[in-house]
Amino acid sequence: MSFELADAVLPVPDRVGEELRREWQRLAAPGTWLTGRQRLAVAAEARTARTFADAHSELPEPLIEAAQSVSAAAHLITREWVVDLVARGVTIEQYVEVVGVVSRLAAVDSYLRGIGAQEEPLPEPTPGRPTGEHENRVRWRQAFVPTAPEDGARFALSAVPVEEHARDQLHAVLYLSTEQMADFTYRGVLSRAQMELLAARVSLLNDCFY
Amino acid sequence: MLRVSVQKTTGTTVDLRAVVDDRIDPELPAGLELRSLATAMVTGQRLEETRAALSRAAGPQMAAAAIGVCANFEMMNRILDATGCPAPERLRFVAELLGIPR
Repeated sequence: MSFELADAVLPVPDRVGEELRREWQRLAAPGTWLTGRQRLAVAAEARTARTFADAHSELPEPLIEAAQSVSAAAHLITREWVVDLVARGVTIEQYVEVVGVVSRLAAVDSYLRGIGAQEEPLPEPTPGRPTGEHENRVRWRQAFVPTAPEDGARFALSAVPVEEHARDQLHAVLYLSTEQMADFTYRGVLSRAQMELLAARVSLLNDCFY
Repeated sequence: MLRVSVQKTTGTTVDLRAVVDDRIDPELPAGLELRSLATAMVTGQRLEETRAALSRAAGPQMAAAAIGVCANFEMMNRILDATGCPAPERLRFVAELLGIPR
């Protein structure tokens, strides 16, 4: 079984452990625009990019570049770079899927490192074809990618709804659900103010423009 | 959101500059330890030390929850930077207050 977390030095809530295992299943399964094998290759490139190496995967070069850039240099990404990526053959929906895969992997790996656990080996891919389901409600606005119903943190991945849903699920167990976010008096183990101090500090050090 | 949440939960205000300036106390329970942990989570430096300090100050459950929040924002920072979703106008004052270029 994945995520046994035997070497963790802090207690891991059951719902977090369950969500990490679900995330590994999502990662290995065919996505909307990438196969399970391609999603895992994206994940492998994302991991190795953190040490300025590459995973020598069989992905097309623009997809490797996307995975590595979102993983290790997201704060340097520009609209022009995304446009160029699309001109070199990556569809905007594939790019959004890469962003979803790489960003959730960053959260999982960061969490494991934080609690003192070993990095979890990537799973084996689940065979099958991507679903190819277009999201027709999205529109181009100010963001680098089309969104629905508007630009914003909640809807950044809305061009690929499965990726948006996966982000939402992980977000809810590591931080807050959408409903809890709207309640500034919500208190879990941490107060809301303590959570926002952590969020603001991490975002500052990551040079996140948001 | 930090300022709003503190005002709503405690009726007091917080100095937002504590996010960027280590000389300023966040004046929250275990605030100094939380800020140090967030720094260690991003930089990878002194992680064991800051995790242990927070566990001593606030307990291992809070330390685990804090690590979850930091991990979540490793995800959200990448999503927002990579998709270029603009920050809401209502949050522009925060960047100006902290002297962060946009």
